[in-house]
Amino acid sequence: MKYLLFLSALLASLRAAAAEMAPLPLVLPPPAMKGTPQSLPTNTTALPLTSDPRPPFLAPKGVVNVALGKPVTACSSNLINGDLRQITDGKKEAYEENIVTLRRGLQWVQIDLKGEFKLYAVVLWHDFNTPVVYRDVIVQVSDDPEFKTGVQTLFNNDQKNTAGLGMGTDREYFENSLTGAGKLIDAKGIQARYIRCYSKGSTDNALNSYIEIEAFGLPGS
Amino acid sequence: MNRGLLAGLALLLGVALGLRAPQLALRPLHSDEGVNAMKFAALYVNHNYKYNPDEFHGPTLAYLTLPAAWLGGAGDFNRFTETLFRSVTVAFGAGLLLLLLLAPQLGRAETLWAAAFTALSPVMVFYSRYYIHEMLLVFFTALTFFSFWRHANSGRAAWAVAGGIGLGLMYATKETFVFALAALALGAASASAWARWHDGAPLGFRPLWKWPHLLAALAAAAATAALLFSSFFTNAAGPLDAVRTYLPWLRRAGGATVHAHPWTFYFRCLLYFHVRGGPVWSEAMIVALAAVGFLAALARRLLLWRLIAFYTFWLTLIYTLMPYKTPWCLLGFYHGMILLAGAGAAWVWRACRPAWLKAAAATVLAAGLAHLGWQAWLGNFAADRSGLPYCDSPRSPYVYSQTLPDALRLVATVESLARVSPQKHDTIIEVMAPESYWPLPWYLRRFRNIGYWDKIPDQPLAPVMIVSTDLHAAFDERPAKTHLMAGYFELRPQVFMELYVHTNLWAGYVKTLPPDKD
Repeated sequence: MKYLLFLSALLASLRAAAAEMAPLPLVLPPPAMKGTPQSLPTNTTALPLTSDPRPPFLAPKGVVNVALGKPVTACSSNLINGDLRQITDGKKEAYEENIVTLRRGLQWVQIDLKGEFKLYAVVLWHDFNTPVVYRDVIVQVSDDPEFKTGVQTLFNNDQKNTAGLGMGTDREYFENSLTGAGKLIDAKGIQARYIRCYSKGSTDNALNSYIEIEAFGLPGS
Repeated sequence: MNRGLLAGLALLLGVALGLRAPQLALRPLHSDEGVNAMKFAALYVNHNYKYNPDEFHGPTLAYLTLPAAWLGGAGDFNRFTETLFRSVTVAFGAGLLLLLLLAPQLGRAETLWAAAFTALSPVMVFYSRYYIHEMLLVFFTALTFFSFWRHANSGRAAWAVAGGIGLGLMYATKETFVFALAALALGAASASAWARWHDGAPLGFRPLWKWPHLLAALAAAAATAALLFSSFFTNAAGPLDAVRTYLPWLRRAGGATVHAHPWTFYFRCLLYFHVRGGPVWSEAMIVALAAVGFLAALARRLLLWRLIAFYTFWLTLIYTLMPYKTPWCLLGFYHGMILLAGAGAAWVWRACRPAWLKAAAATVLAAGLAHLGWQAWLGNFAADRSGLPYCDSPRSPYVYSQTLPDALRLVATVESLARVSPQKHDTIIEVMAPESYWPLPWYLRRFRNIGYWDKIPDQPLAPVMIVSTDLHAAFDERPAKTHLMAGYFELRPQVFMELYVHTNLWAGYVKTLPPDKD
């Protein structure tokens, strides 16, 4: 009897929790290409490229893209092309004019959310015109603009620690030109003000190109 | 024995060895070679070799590797190399030239031409460097044929016994020896029928067989086969298994196999093979001269050549009609074609009477030989545009389901992990693949705690796991995050393996890596 009461209480709380969750209000850009590309990079840990849609990602109801229109800085202001503001301007189509390209080697871009937010998902789109794999992708959050304290890593596929930020255990992934899905990273409700994204070139070239970064969250406590 | 013939054969033997012996480790072991190497381990290390009627062919390859192992002086099986194993088939591939000495009736020019084609033929060179049973079967078939031929000519019992031993070795090498036997029987019947029809009378040769000699030959064949199949009287079931084996092999021959190919398969390999980015491969000159030799054999009243001609015809037909085809299976009938090409080249040379015609024929034949030699070199030592050696590249007609160099990168990574693991070669490794994971057991033989599964086993994750992508293991996605997926490795074309490593072990490995230059 005691167990039954416990189970029914558990189910009720789960139901309540589920009721507060909803699919992430993520709007995907159109695919950049159709059909399977002839040759894909092989020297990668990425899962094979697929045109299947990503399963819905559940987040608390009411989450919004808190990165939209927020200021972006980078490790270097010397860009190859584009403007850093384009990374949070909401334009996600894989058009040349939406691409921001940073120089070769390890580079980062940083978004100041202008306040503390409980983050549930970070979605980033590098240049997904072709199915390339970006190397050493690391996504960190912090409440310190210098990222010296309170740094938490949400995603790290730098398995050989070439960036020197610690060994990553995540896989690489294809920039999915077939779905335009971007890379969705579970932020697990972590509270932070700053988001920093690293990369170190791609299977295509040594440059680092971004189209958009979105961060879905709720105002922090 | 003619000195010129001996000198010519010695020279061609040098050419044959020059193309066969160098850089034997250039290509990773094919999965079949890996299986054969580990079967040898059962004999050499564990002393428990047993003939398996379902797979792996006969015991001769393992037993004949013993001298190479003793002479090689490696001692420890873990130090054996691809070179040691492949040197066995190199010896038999080059030894084919010496067998020609058993039949002086072939004719001096015919013998030298046949020896030249054997020495230079790209396919004969390629599969002489391949640790599988096929070249041994070709050698023992030729040994049997020429020994019985010598017996027929000399009447000496010793040659009948030699032929019997050859027959036993054929049997103990590969199940397909029955096709060679069938072709020999059909060839003899056809030669006899042809003689009656074409010549109007049976060929005038002494009765081939004396009953006591025939019985001695059969006894020698049975004893040789029984000795090998019973693992030198340690496996009583072996000789019976040697008969039972034909049930599974018959199913495969009938087409219940992934190796079913159209009837044109062998001719595509031999006459014209071209894959974009690679050269055109062709041994058409040998095939064309074999056709000339075949016709010449029919015209001339020489039993030996007619036997070879009809034997080759029937064996080619059998292999062509059989759905089961792998490129190395062509060696049997192609060796017959090479012998006939020797006769064809000699006929062409003699037929070209005027000096200018002889000069033209010499030029064409020399160019043909050079082309064969160039292809043999290309197919074994050169690389295609992508830098992949042709001996590993699908741009070669004889590369079939070949292990790719990426497999060696996987092995090197696993060895590097073992170096940083406190357990070293006692590190637990699990290999999972629904299809063949060979030749990994050979390359990972130093690991003492390694297991192989055809599915994901229901047990704790090992520090190192090599898993076929077909199994969708996703061990790195498990909540505990104990493992990472360190990379894909292409074992064979389009056969990928994932390497999963415990994060602690991987962290130790990463510390050993040189700093990144960027």
